Amino acid sequence: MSTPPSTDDRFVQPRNASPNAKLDPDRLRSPSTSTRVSFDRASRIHNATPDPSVESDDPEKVILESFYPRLFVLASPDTEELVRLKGIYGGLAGLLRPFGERIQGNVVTRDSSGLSKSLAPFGIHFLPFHRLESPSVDSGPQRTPSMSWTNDDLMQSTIDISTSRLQEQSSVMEGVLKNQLAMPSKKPETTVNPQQPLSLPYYTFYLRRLLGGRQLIPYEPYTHPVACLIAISSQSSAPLESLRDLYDSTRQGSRDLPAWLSNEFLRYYILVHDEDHDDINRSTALFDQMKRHFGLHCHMLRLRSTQCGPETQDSVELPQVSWLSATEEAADIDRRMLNSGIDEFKQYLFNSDAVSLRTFVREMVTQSIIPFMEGRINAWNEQVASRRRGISGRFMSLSKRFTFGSGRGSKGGSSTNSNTNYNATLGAYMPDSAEAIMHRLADYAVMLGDWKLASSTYEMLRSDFTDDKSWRHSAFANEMAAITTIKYAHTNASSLKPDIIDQMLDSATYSYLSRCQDPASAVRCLLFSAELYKSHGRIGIKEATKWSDRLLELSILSPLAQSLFTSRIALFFSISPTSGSLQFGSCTRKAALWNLLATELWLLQAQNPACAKESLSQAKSFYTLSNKNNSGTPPFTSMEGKWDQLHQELASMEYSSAAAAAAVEDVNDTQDELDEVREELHDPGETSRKGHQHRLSMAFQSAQGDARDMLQRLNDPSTQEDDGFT
Amino acid sequence: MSYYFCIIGSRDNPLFELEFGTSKQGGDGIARFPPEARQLNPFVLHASLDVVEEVQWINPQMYLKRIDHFGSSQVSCFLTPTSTKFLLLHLPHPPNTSPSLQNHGQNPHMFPPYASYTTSAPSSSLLTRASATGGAGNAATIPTNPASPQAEEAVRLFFTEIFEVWVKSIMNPFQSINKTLSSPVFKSRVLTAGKKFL
Repeated sequence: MSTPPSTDDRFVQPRNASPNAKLDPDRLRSPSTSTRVSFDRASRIHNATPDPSVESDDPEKVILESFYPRLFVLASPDTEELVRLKGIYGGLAGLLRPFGERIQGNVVTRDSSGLSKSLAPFGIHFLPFHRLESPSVDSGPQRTPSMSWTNDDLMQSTIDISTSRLQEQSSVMEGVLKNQLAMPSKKPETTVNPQQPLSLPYYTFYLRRLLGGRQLIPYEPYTHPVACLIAISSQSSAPLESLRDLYDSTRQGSRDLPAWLSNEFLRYYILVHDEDHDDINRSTALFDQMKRHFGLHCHMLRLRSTQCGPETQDSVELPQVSWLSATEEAADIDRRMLNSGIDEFKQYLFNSDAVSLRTFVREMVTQSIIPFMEGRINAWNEQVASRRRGISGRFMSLSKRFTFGSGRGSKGGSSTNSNTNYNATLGAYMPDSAEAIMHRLADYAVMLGDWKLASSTYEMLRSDFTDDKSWRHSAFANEMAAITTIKYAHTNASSLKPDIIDQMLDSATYSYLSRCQDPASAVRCLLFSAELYKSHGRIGIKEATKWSDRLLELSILSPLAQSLFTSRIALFFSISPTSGSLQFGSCTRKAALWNLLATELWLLQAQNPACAKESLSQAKSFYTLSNKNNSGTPPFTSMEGKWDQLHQELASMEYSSAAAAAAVEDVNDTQDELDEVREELHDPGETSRKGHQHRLSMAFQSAQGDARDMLQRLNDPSTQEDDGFT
Repeated sequence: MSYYFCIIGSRDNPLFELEFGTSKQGGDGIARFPPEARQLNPFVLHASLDVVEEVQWINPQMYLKRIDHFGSSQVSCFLTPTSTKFLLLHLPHPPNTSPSLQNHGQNPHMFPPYASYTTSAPSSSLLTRASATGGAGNAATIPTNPASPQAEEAVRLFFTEIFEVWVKSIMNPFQSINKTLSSPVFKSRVLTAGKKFL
């Protein structure tokens, strides 16, 4: 097995490239351009992609997971080297990433009113530090990292991100989804459970890829780091110096960190001890020294540096990462294609390493990160937010305030020409302005699940941002205000007021679409609110379907996403709660309609007969329900045309995909036969078989031609109706 | 504006179906649904029965007004005392032009039922929708804005007229209340009412 040589998890590396190959920054930054072509090939490799059913399938959980705190990993070169020697792709961040997705055990936190509660599933997103340096990692391949950020650049890049994001992401996303849909589903197809439709794993897969790709953006503070992990290894000759250097590069104004990024995040120091080569006593001494310097936020991580394969004793597989962005997934698929193997991309490590990593992550989260966040929430709440909540704060905000007087808020960062804190040239609030602090306060509250505090803070922010005409901020604050209010109403059922939330969502979508040209965010906003509304009983379902309907009407979803989402709406309707023996409030007819639409989309846009079949059979069962005659035909005679047409299309698509699969099989068989004959021919003395070989290669060519025709016809929807039952 | 009118019996069975177009503003009274929408219309009306069942317990009137929408088509409902429903689906578009001709191929990835329905660019259709649901907008005429009070009143008059004709025709001793209405006289009277009010 070749050692994955890259220290960068975005790097698409061919198998035989030398480990010391110089990293080309342009290739580093645009993995997607080279990968798009290969999706069709990728769809042939089925088993290599992680099984979607392993991941949590509840979309609401996925959404909440996307709010987990982000932690940026900055490791010294010798640490990265150590991880690379272990055969782990993506550096220290890549090694930690799978362990941060689900922290084992209970994580307890204390909310703003002093009540302690447990965050049952909790996690951390580990990201490599270079992601902090330029927010346009995806869209700016031409930008070199050393270039400093001027204001114009920044404005341009933030606009670039959002405008290019949709086109780029949606095409990458389409490819990734296509690949995922091409995989055979692991579920038995006989059971049609309306709660767990066939397309659900794909939907959550889509959500993860959509949310996983969020960049560092000034107006979404939860993409900012909560903490930074500074790692050195025991191999370092001058550990304290390298620690200092690493610390310096996390300070504001250095290493091209954007100006709007707050410096107020936790630094956590780890010493990676090499169990195989280094002396534990020396490391312990060094660690003691670190502890004296940095206090509690330190950890010694003991890892073995030898590489570990599947056959090594005590080895475990590195868990698969479920939070990948679409671009990363595309790069991943391409990597798999290049290596054309499956096992090579299972990465292994020693069981002892896995245990110590798990302990480390848990310890860091419970002992450092959560207390740090709680502390920040309390401090900011007292210093800034509660002043705004008081009478004087309201008064000041009414009179289009001066920079009001918390010590930090008055310090500056405000633009000179008016009395707002919004820096229009930078497109952001400076990190020490009151708005930015409150924004971070609200986001920390979201991360720790304190929905009440979050929703009240966002409520204040959204009016502030609208006054300042900072539309991106205002759209995001509106979106989050809506989401947190819905989420808060989960615990407090009486407080759901759809009118107010409607207003927020309306202005959020309007701002995203018309003022910011950022449809991707609008999609996210409406998806979130629909999913969160879903568990709110009948009113919730009504609102959820209303907003999903709106999302489809805006037609900003890519074709495959449309199919997925239409199935989702059908599900919303089918789970609408009813009351009484008369089934008051049931929406079976609506569910039937949307299942029918989903069938049509699966057939025409996604060309996926399995999902289409499922939707159609669900529509059938709903029509049977409302029809009360058990014949499974739709109740109106005028419906039959459409109904039969869908059945026919489905049948023809099933037929042609089966035929194409058979043709591919055929080609493979002929290939095998040909190979056998070739081997025989290579035996000396067997020359009389040339005629036979010729015949076989002719047969092979014709079979190949057949298969090509079949595939072509499959990919071309216009010819599908003709080849139906011939 | 194109209309699709349907009478549905108490057991969700269709008793009468008719398509017609507007006759106001020089319309020629011919329905111009795009083909894919035309196929979907019965499904849409059937789905809005869910809403009728919910609204009928809240609203004491027989005319329940606009109860549902799908894409840009709206559904109005009139409920008779015997739980027979008159449903009218209206798709707004300028008279004598087909809605699918206006913006075909605007966006290749459009959702089929909405593809030919949307009357403006995707990014600003939110605005259009907001004004369409916001009541009396700038376009108060019947064929362009189904949300205007004039249009609502016209639909009410149409339904009242139909109710009268319907009661007369089911008083026929050979007709029962849940039986398909196949009388050509009834059909022509519905068409006349449509010409008169819509």
